[in-house]
Amino acid sequence: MSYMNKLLTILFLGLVIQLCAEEPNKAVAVPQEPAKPAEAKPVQAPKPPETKPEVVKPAEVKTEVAKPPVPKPETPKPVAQPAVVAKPSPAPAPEKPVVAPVVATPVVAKPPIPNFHSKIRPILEVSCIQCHGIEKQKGKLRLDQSPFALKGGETGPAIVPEDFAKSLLIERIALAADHDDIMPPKGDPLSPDQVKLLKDWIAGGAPWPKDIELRAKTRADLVREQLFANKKLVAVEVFPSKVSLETSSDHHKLVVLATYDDDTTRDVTLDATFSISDATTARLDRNGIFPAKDGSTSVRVTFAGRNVDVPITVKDASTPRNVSFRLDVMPVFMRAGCNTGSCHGSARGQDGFMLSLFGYDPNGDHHRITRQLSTRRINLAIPEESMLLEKSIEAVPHTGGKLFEKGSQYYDSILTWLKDGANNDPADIPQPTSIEILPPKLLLEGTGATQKMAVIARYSDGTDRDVTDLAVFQSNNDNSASITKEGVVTAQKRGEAFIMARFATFTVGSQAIVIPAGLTYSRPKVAETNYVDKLVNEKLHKLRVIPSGLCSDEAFIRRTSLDIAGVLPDIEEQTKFISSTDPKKREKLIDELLDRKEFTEMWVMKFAELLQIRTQQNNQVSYKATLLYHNWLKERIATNVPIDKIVQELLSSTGGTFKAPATNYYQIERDTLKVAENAAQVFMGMRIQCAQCHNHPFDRWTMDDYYSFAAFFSQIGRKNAEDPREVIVYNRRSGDMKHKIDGRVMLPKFLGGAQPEIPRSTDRRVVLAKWLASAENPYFARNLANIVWQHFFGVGIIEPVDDVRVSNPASNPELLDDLSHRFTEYNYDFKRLVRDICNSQTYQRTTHTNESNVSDTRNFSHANLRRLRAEVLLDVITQVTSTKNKFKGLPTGARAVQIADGNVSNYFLTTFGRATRETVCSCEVKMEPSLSQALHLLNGDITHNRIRSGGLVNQLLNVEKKPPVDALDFLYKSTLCRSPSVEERKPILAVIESEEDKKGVLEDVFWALLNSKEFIFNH
Amino acid sequence: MKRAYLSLLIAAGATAQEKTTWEDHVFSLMEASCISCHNPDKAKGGLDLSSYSNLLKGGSSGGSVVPGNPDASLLYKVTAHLEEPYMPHKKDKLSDAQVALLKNWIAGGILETASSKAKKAKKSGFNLALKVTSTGKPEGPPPMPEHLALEPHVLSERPAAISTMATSPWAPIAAVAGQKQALLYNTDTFDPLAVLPYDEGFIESLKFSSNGSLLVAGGGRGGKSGRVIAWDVKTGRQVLKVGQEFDTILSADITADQTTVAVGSPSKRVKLHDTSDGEMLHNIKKHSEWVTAVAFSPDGVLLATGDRNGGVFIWETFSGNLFYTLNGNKGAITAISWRSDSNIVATASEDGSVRLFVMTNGREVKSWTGHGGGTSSVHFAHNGQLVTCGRDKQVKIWAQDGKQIKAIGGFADLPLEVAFTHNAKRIIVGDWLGNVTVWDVDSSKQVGTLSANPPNLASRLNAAQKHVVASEAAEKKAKQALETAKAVTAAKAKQLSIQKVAVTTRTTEKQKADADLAVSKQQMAQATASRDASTRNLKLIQDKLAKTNLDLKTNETHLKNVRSTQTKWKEQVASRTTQSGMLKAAADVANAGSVKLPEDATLKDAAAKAVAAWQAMEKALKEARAKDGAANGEVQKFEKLTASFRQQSQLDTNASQTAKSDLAKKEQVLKEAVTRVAVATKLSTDKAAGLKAAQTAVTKSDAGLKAQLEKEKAPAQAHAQSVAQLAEARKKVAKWQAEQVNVGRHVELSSLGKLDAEFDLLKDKSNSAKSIYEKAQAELVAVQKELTDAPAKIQAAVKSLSDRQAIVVAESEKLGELNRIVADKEAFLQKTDAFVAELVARHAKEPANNELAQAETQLKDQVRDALLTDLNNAKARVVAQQQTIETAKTTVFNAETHLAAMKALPGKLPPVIGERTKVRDVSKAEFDKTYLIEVEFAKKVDAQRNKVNELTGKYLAMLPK
Repeated sequence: MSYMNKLLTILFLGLVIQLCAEEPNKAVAVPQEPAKPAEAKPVQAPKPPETKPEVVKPAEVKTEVAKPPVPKPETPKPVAQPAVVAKPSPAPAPEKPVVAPVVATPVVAKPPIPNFHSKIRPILEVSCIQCHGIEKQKGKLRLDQSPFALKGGETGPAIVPEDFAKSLLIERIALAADHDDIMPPKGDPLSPDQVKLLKDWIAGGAPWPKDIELRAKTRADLVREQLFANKKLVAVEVFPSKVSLETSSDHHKLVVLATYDDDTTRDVTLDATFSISDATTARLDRNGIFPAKDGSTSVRVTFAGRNVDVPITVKDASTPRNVSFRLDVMPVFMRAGCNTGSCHGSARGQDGFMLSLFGYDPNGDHHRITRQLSTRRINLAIPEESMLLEKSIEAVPHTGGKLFEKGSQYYDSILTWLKDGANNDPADIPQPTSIEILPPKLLLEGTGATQKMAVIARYSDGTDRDVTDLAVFQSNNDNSASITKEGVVTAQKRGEAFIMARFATFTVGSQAIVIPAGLTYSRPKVAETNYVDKLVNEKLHKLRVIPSGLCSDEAFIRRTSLDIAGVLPDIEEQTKFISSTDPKKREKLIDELLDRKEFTEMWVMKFAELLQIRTQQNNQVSYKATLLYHNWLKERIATNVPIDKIVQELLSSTGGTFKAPATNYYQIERDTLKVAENAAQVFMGMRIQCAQCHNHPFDRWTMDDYYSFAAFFSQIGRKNAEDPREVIVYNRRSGDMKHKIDGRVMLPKFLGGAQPEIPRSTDRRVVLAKWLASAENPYFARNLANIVWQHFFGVGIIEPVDDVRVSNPASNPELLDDLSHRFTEYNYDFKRLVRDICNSQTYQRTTHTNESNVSDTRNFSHANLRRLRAEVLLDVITQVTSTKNKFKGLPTGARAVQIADGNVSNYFLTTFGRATRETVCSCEVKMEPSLSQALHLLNGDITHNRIRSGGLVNQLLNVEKKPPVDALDFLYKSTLCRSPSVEERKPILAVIESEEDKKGVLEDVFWALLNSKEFIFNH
Repeated sequence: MKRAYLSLLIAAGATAQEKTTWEDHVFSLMEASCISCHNPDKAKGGLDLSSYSNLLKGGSSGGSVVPGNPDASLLYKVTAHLEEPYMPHKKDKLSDAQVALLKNWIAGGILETASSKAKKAKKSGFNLALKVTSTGKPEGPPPMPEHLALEPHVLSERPAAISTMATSPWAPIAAVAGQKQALLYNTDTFDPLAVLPYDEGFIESLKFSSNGSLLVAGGGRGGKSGRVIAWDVKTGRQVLKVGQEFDTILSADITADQTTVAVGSPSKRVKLHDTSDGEMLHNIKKHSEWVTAVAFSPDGVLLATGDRNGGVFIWETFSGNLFYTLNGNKGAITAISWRSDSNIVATASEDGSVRLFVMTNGREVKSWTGHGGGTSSVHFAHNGQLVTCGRDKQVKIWAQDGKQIKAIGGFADLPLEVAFTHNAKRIIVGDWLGNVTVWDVDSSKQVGTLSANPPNLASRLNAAQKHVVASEAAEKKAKQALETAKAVTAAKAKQLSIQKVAVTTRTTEKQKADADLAVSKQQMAQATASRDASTRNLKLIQDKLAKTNLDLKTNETHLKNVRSTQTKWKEQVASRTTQSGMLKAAADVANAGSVKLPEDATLKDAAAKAVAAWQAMEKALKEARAKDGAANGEVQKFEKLTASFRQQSQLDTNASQTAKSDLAKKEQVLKEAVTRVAVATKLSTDKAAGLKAAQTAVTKSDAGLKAQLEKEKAPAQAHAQSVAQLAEARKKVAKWQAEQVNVGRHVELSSLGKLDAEFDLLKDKSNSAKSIYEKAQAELVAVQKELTDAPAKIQAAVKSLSDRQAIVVAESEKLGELNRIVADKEAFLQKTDAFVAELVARHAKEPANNELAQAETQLKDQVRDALLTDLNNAKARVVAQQQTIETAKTTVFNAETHLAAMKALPGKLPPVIGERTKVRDVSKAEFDKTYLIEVEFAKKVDAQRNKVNELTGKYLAMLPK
């Protein structure tokens, strides 16, 4: 068997060459004696991209920092005399021995005064303001404005113009590095150059341009400022674009966003200036815009010479707004995390105190807080000593820790509510109707770039509120863009993230793309076949990712055949295709494949999985019914009945499960709620299960939505037919769906849609079916398009395909939209959609990656390696070994794809993760590798026995009398759709030469091929 | 930062006198940050940081502190984040100041308290245990608060939900939990009786002891701490503080004998504490959830406890052992109440039920749904009725068989607590809004309210003063109204008397008028009679005249008739004469004609007829002539008659004229009389009307007066009332003024208490100084006595020595004797042995000699043994004797030593005496000093007592009677 090792080694070499894009961690079915990847050197190195992205090395950044940035062009204020005439300091500096080093000797020749903006400001902003600014005033010193700096702190004036010896600022920065009092206290001391600059500046009278306020910055901030200073500004936007203030308690904060010519965005809120045109109507301070009196005015936001006017309307300026339990207090619970599943939102609460998860039950929460243990949680006599508050600020021990400060707005909301008597809200309290997160899109450049987000909630009474401070923020990819509790996005590594804000029952998101700072990139010219390519490339451009090139013909025919028909092309087909010079040969191949019956079978199988077609015990779903159901589905798809019609027939089906097989849909799942959940998951790609007990934590679905949707299925009747195996499904015409919490009767309402008028005699399901499988339902076509896409790329535009939710957004929403529109336009004809997809350059890309797209997993910049699904793998093994399978209920030689009953399986299929169809979840089809898969391929009868019993090698050598080199070529082509490479062929042939049993050697080669990753993967 | 740290250390150093101690500094830090995980109930890592002693014990990682060495102390290292696991677990690091405090404390040697001395043994200042406990009503008047301070301890803007209430079993007292205070009210008068401060936090449980003399409160700060406090109801003094918990106490109770307190808390434990020293007697781990209710049976034998899962257990108080498990409740237990015979216990639960369990077997005897949604409170009255309230916002009274007797509804929010008053005549209800209302059981009507957030005395006084002002105004107004009414009455009375006089006058007038009328009437009667006679006469005459006239008229008529008849007949005669002529002529003609024509019948007939007519006419003429003649005679006759009657008529007419004029005269007289009567009658009538009017007026005025008198009552009453109110209001003012003084009095009283305590300490000190002095004195005296006694003692010692020496000699002689005996016996034994040897030898030679063998055996086995025993006894005696001699020698030695010591005494004692004298002098000085202080302090105490007494006197004097 020694040659076996060699063979494997050779094959692996080839595989590694072929699949060089594969991640080592995801190795599948690794044979026991793997060749060390290190030994394998890629023969075909990936083509280097035309433009190599320049990686900014940290060292470069640092050197740049060392040089103070040049003054910004926007602020060309001449350095004039100090705005404030230096007065004699009120108290002489404490008489301390001057520790200043020798450098401090009086300078004879006066050096030039350093420019404040370019030299001094950066030093102060980076090193001082963090502790001596508006946020903190250590030692009661502020250095962010000139008067404060002159006034000084506890120990005297920090700056004494023209006399740096008396300036404490200089004294403290010039101390020895290990001195206790040196400033800055953390990090390296200021460089001698910086100290000198400051001295010179003070010696020159410490000129500080009027009204300039400094704010804390990091070095990276300065670098970034520099970066943006060299860009061309395209637009300045202010969010929200208009402000309406209702009641005296209302306020809004503005966020100013600058967009540059390379589409990058930057938060310039702190750099912009604001001026209100009528200060008697609205008041402006650093915390936002506040109402003053009724009327309208506007605020002018100026940045880099551009003005944006934001209209302001003020209403009820003198009327206070009462603190409401639902609108003010409950959001605090959510923001502080009190009602999350791990705390008081868990089903049993914490320590006996339960809040509804994310506040799905406001009345219940009010009851539990105020009246469950009437004297424990709140104290209306001394509201400050209510346990609810004391625990929150950890004035008493709290397992959940301190959630907010005493005196914070959260604390005050609850306190005021308590002071008002802890009342519940009246029934007509305005409800939030939507929320919005702003800015809607970000393109951040460079790690550390920040952007403050704003969240606006709109209410049923037409008002809106700035709920940024009450929203809960989350990023779906902290690696690329993280977000703080306060809503500040910080760019991390290159990539994209979806920034989510949650408030009340709503979750909204904003897309944030992060690119490295100073990336040199120019958009490559990439061929585009159709809209798919256009939209994919558009997204790649935003990410500054360069797509891979096209795959080879060999790879294409293998990939397409497997994807569309689930078979491998035979050698003839391969030869024909590869030798063809027809520029449209790929297109033609796709058309041919689409016309094969295997294409239909593939999709029958996929739908059978979604519909859970399988027998169930006790004749609940008999084999006969299963078969009839499957045949019904097959017949519909084979005759090209549009999928919307099929779904409508399915959902509105009535009659016996034998006579009208579509009714099996309601027999396979008999629980009303689950029927509803499955319908949402299968046909709309949404998992609404959570909303059965509480509002969906990461999506818009409320319990009301859930039970209203389930109400469509509340009138299904089932009765026995003559045949005990048959069940008759009919419309009972009665039966209500009741809300879990308050027992309200819920009327049918489309999920995310309108509430239809349904006459009493009409079958609710018919109404639903008509809506669900139609263009009116925004999710139907999208979901199917996504499923189709996922089939061809291994990953959906939304992934997983049946987990559509606000917080799991599409990686390319425009693409998905377009696909779904087309799908609708095509009258739900799969073939046309598949044609679009397969003909695209995107589908035809190679698996090889380049530097810019190596980490891309969701944006289709290169082809993905995909293991063949269990049925297809078994079928192709059967195909290449010329053997036959026998499955229960099917004739010998049938393909695994054709199996009707989900319960029919064999060891191979189970091992490779065939869906058991017990649930509708897309996760049923398991593609994860396992040891048993590897062992089964290596040692199981599926390879070894079939090679023997199929007698292919015997046929080649002994019947067709092919020379070994041709036989080897045949084996390679039939399995991998390519000829062996020279490196592969040579040693194998050498072994064949040396061995007596040529058939045995070739069978072993065959075995090795079947075990190769190149075979079991589509690539 | 470094600077801050340094300054803190410096600060710590600067206040070195104020040492960092467990009690003053560290405990509060532990309480805030550590105890939630490291307490006796939940000792994470086996470490309990809730008490000094347990902290010293350390946890599973060993000792937590090494005194004097913070860096070796785990407690410091983990909190300073020098070592994992960082503490507090998963929370922010302690502030630098706090870490420094810990370090400082450890470095300072982990002092428990500031005093260097050992902490004074903890003892409850009051011995609460009762020698005799009775389960019924205690003898004598039930304890009532006596002039306790009423200034609220905490005043809030509004009350909070009523967490707990209790009523005294024997007195009209209700205790209501306010904010950090318990408030006592009189349930008969609703007067406030006391404000008992509870600085430990918020009270969650109030219970009166079985005899009503103590009020026990459990509570604390939620999530942090809990304590049980008890007050003496009479004096308001806090007499107990036990049971440290780490969350608020939910329920607490005290046994009837007042030796044991039970505590239920979120720790899920039931803890029993000894009231004398606070020691925990039992820590019962059985409940699976928070212990929400604990209640001792009124006899104190059993303890019932309930938890938030609905678990209810009965325990033996004495042993803490489980007695019964009471099953059935499905929701949190909200309250437990015992029937006064300690045999039935009632539970209230959030499942809505009320359940009764009997203690003879622990079974549920009755259960019913009290309140849909949850029953919040239950209370058993002495009469066996139960009162409950619940989430249906109702209060219900039940018989013990579950029959609903009454329901009171209409509460604006949840009634949370309910209790019967001591006599079950009223019920007290506390609700979620903080209202406490009192209801009369019989009428189901609300009769009063108690405030859970009473105003302070100043505002009470202010209100009372305002009330006085208002009352004064009201009184003035009422008085005015009364006076107005009285004036009206007087006016009316005056009017009435005038009217009464008028009535008398009118009566007289009427009588006179009546008399006049009578006379007039008589006259009129006479006149009438006279007139009537004249009338009659006239009538007679007139009748006669009329008859005469009638006759005259008849005659005249006759005359006329006769004359007319005569005239007629004369005319007849004339006419008939004419006609007869004519007829004769006609008849002649006719005859003539008939004659001419005799055959004509018609003519003949006509001629006959004409002749007949003529003849008839002739006859008639004759008759007429006769008749005329007769008529003429008649006329003559009647002419004569008529003339006579005419004469007669004239006569009669004259008579009539006379009579008429007479009548006229009479009529005149009558008319006059009638007029007179009419006048008199009118007068009389007028007078009668006048009288009547006067009488009516009188009646009316009388009624008016009466009504007025009646009317006057209301203002009078109102006035009386306003006067009473005013008095009451003034009383209130006096009361609140007095109560303000009382507050001061209580302040002084509490200083007095402190002074008393201090005085006790001083007395202790003085007493101990005294005893030290006395001891020193006694010692001195003893030494002096020793010195004086020395010669005699030496003598005695010499004698004793010689005696003892003599004994040694005597005993030595005895020993000699004994030794000799031993020697003899040994010699004899040797002889015997020799003889035996000889015998053996001989027997060897003569083996057949049986006697020899026998002798040999006998000698060997019996004689020799006896000899040996004897010898050994003798030797033992020798040893004993030697021991005796040794002892004697020792005594001799001792005596010698003693003698030597005695002999040394006269030389040694004087310095000792000097020293003792000094000690005595010092201790005496100390005693004198402390005594002086004591005396001085006694004056201070007395002064304070006088002050208190004075204030008491003032207060009592001010109190309205």
